[in-house]
Amino acid sequence: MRNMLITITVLMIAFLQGGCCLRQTCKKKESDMAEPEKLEKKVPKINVRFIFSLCNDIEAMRHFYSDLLGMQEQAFFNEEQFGYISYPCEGVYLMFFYSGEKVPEHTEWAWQPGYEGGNLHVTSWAIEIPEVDFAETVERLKSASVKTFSENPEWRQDSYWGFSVMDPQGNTIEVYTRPKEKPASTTWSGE
Amino acid sequence: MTKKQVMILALFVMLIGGCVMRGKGKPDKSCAPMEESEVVQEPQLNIRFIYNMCNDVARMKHFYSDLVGLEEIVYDSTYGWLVYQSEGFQMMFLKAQTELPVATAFSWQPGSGKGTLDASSWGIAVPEDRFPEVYLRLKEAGVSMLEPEPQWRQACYWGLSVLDPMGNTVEVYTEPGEKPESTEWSKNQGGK
Repeated sequence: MRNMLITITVLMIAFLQGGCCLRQTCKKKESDMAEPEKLEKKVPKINVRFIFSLCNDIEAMRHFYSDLLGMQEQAFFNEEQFGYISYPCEGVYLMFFYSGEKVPEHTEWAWQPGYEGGNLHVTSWAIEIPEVDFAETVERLKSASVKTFSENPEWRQDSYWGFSVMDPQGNTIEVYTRPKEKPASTTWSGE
Repeated sequence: MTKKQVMILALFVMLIGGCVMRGKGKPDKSCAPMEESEVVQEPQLNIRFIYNMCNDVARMKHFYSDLVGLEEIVYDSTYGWLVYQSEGFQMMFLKAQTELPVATAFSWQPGSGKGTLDASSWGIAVPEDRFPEVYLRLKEAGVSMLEPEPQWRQACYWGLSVLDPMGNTVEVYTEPGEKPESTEWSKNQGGK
């Protein structure tokens, strides 16, 4: 009976010991995985952080970028002699300022690599819209009578839908989305 | 049961115990590498590209890569294509088909509150420990500066407004961890 009890105790200890050893191995792996991150002290990169653009009407720019495109504004200020609006994006802030003086508005399309048609050599930009929101965004822009390069989005570079529009200051913006799958037709159907 | 038999049985049970615990450990994702499908993110609504035209991409590369210290991800002198990646967006410089005028005036920027040109411009963040060397490189290269040395701006950062080879206004800046003893650059840098 005594021998039986000793045997059972030894077996129980052995069972638990086996589990503990593996737990330790697992913990060691976790620490091994975490260690390189600790050691790899990230060197802060030199980065473009702000894009500044002047405009004549902060409210009109807010309506375009916030209401029509759906961008999230971070700060807004508008008084007679000074105003600004700021949009934080991934790693960069797009900021529009009104400095109290009227600045000329562009009326021509800027050159961009995605389409043929723009010849103005000024800074311009492209804004990506999630695929699920793209058709709705296009409709909002059209309903608001925003100036567009083409009636509908175009299938560009055989990889994305691009819709070139002008903001209230005349900046050329390519609003685009990259669908997960190539569409059956490369003529925009509105969906 | 002899002692030898008990020891062999104990070793066998240890193995079983280990297997049971290993099974329990499986759902613990910290022990397993993350599957690729778990890290794929949907694209967010964001500005992704800034397009700028220029006359000479090699000169732009010298300015932004060698002097300012940005790291280009694409440089193609044949097609005139220069790209810098900054987290979620790309700053692109493309060679114009025709010679473009080069601006000599500074664009208005909020940090300096100066500048008369209405063209778009940008600000480039530099880590504090690398800022003095960037300033010296720009100065030695004879780059056009709004002021001869960095200015303490908005009571929170050192800013240096310069013109790139196309006359685009660029504010190179750093936000120091601590407020400097003097807000005159040269007094903080030992007159360098």
